[in-house]
Amino acid sequence: MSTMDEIAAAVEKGKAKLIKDLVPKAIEEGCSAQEILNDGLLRGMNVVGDRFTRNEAFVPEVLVAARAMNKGTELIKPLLLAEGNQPLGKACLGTVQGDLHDIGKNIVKLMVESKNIEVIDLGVDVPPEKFVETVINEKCDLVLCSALLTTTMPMMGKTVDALKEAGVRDQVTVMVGGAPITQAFCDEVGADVYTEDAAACANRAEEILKAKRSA
Amino acid sequence: MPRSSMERYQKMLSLTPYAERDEMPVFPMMLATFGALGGVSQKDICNSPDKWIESVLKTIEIVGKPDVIMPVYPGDTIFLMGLPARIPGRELPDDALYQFIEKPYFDDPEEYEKILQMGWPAWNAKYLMDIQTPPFTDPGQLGARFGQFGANAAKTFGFVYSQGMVPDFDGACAPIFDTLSMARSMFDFTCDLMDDPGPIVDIMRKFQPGADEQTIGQVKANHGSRVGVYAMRSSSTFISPDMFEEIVWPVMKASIERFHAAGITYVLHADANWTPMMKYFTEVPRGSVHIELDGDTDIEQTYELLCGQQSIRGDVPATMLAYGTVDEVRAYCEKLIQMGMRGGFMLGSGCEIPLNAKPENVKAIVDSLRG
Repeated sequence: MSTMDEIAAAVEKGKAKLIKDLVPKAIEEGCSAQEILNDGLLRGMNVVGDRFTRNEAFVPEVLVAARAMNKGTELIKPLLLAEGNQPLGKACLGTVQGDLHDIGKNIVKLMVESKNIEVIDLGVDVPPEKFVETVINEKCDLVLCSALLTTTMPMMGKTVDALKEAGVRDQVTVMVGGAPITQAFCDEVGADVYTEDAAACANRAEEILKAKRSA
Repeated sequence: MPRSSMERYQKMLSLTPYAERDEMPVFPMMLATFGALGGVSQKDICNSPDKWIESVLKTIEIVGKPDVIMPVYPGDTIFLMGLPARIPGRELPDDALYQFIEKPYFDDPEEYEKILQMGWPAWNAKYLMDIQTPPFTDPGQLGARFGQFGANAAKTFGFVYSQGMVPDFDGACAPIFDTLSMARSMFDFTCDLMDDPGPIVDIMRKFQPGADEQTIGQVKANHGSRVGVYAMRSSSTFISPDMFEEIVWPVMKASIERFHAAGITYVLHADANWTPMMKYFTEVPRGSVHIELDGDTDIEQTYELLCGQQSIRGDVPATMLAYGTVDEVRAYCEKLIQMGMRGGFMLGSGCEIPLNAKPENVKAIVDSLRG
């Protein structure tokens, strides 16, 4: 088994301690940071993400795999910068204003990051203006809004409106999710994409950004 | 032919087919929603059981009387939940819904060893003191708060019975597994389970029996026969089915059997997705568990699996109640009623009805059986 295969397997099994040894080993062997990221860390994470999509893996497996992947990306971050690696795109993420439930949002963050997408986590109770400000200042490609309460769902529409008012609506794809959200609600508030779980969100985000790059 | 709410409830527990739809009990679950529908502020219903009772009476006038109701007012529910909370009128606007805050109470897995040494009752008491706002500094404060809860419960349970309704439970608890998940926070707890579940399992096995005995005493003191168990962290939304089978189920099964032996039904509030876990409830005595589903679990599949074995309640979706039409609610209820006529089914909402539910949609749930 090559070191890269070992890295992928370690991520898949959530073995963060192994990653701490394997990534330096791969660097010593002459692998580039880009290779370690794509052929090792992300490959392992994608296996878990696919299994999650097929209901063969569950949140615990995803969380520990993401923890292992993050340990690896921490180690190669300086090298990635030196190599000029660019993430696939940039997203800002938060629970909408009035909503403090962040467990789902945090899982989305891990899954989206596992697609080599930079995520700016705005936390909970995020007002529309904060999303707008972040889109403008950070040049985000995606806005990811989460809500668990039916009372806070309308803030997703307010966020879309705020992006329109600021003149940046066309620059971003607005993705919405959370237990009470439906495709009909997504359409009604003028968001672009609804996904029903974190894995689907990460997959769609990746597709959208790849399409944007190749356009 | 059962006609009172208690008779309907007993009919449901008997797991026998309903001869008429009017025999089926209905439980549109509300707690804070009573304030919204009854025109009493969230601040008031969280601070005063009397104000909450006032809101219940006003709501019943609007949407009709349910058979089953939550018997504890929001202020005590928040206290008992075991998570730090933001409260309307304190950290939130007067009419906002209370919300729990997920943050780690302890950062080091070594805490599990401390729990094993201290014992669960002492550790849990300290935890409950520390998460109050402001934290309690004297155990006497906690005792006084439980005393206040007892006085409030006497009032709210008395109200429920005086109205001819059935309380959803006569005593309530969260399994130790779920309390630990909330105290440690979901991410860290999950990593602990994956890295080394041993100390967590040791705590559950050592202390859950004693915690159950304490709850049995609480239910018996209320002359009751049902315990509400809030075990949301044990669902497949949070843990894998393998973890459930290896870690949670052996302890939960023993708890169900312990309560059953004491003549107490285990009312499992099963928020989130329990679909892969439902098969295990065929392993415990018939009628020992009543399961409340919130829409994430496949209710049809569950009913097919458990029909004649355990009873279930569910699951009109929150989003439909807030944004749907009366016709949509009626159609959804009708589908559930037709499904549940073989017995052991209670028509209800999926978890709590949201604050912005349309009154006519809530009324449509009750009317679908009583209209």
